[in-house]
Amino acid sequence: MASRFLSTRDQGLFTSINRELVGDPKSSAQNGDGVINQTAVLYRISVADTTTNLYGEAAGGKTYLSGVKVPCMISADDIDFNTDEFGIDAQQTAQFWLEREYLTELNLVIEPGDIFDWNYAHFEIGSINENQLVGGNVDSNWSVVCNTFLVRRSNLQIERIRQGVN
Amino acid sequence: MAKEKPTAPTPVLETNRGRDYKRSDDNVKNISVGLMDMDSAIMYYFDNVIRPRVEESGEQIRVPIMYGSPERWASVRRTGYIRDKKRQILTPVIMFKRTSMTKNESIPLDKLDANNPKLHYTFEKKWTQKNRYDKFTAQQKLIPQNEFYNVTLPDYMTLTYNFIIWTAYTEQMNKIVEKVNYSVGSYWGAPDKMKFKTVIDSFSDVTEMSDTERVVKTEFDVTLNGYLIPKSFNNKVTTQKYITPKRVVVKEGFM
Repeated sequence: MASRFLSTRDQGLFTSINRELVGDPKSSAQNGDGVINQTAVLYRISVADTTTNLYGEAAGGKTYLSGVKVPCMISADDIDFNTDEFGIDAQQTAQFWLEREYLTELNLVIEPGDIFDWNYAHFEIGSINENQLVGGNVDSNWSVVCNTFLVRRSNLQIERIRQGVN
Repeated sequence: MAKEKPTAPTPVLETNRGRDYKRSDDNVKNISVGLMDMDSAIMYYFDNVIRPRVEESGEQIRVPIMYGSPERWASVRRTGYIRDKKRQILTPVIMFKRTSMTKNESIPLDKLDANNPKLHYTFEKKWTQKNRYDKFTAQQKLIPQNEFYNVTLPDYMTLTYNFIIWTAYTEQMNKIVEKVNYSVGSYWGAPDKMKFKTVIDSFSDVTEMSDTERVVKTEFDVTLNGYLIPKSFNNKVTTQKYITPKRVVVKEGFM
């Protein structure tokens, strides 16, 4: 909803510039590529197909819905090599910035626990921040910021990670 | 001219050369038990007897066990199989490390002096080359000789090991803890080597949800009743050979 200092025209300008920068895979113009052109594939957990035990964990393996390629801006922190009793263990956190309106058009709701496939690794969403209100207007909630962390492949159970003889 | 002060003579070791036996032709091994033997016993028992396994995506996965705090290169290259291509640890994994070593006061035995041990375990070799029967032995009426080995009494120690089991799910953890708990009280070690009695008092769950990932860990301490004996100390082997005399001569006389 437009306000006195933020017209609908302005919001449209923001959206078009935003998509020109980040990209719009739905659009046929320039194959949907943007200037920044960063994309990640989002996998949502299929709650109906994933069973949990009494501890609230899917020890038998999780089932994910088909991946959706979404344009976003990604800010990944440096890989942290934590060295404890188990030896070296890599950990990394990353933020995925998505345009909220774009997700609404896709009818896509992101929840904690969903997975981003990016940079040959999987990042699990730990928390979500939807607090960028343009002009302070709750109807102009602009972005969805996903705080993610590098998830262990052994926790994912979506690919064979162990090879050789046990 | 001042008279030079005489220097003290070199101390002579009080050795009975009659008890120095040639050991090059016997096949009795000098007994020694070190800390690494006890660490290896634990590793062997987990790998080959307890053999913790979990089910992952319908497959049975052997849970690797490692000694804590390895060198960086070893943790990435040698035990690279527990890490993925991003060098992130794949769970489940078990880590253990020795945390303390104290003298076992419940066994009040002591060798007294390491340089000259006073207490020994003695065992007899059933067959000795010195005891072969021949005509000379019969003619001279020589008595059979016995071959003994005196092993210095070891230091009885109580070693404590800290274990951390790390799994992805509590359900996997339950399976491992159940197996470890069942093995409590038995003697851990390889069948053809030393075995040590072990005790586990309690298991503590440290399952928690951090800012990033969900961590499912269980910690427990293993108390191992072991002993330490070096192969030699101060150039003296701790396993000494001893042969009984061929002939005992008794003469009349007064002391």
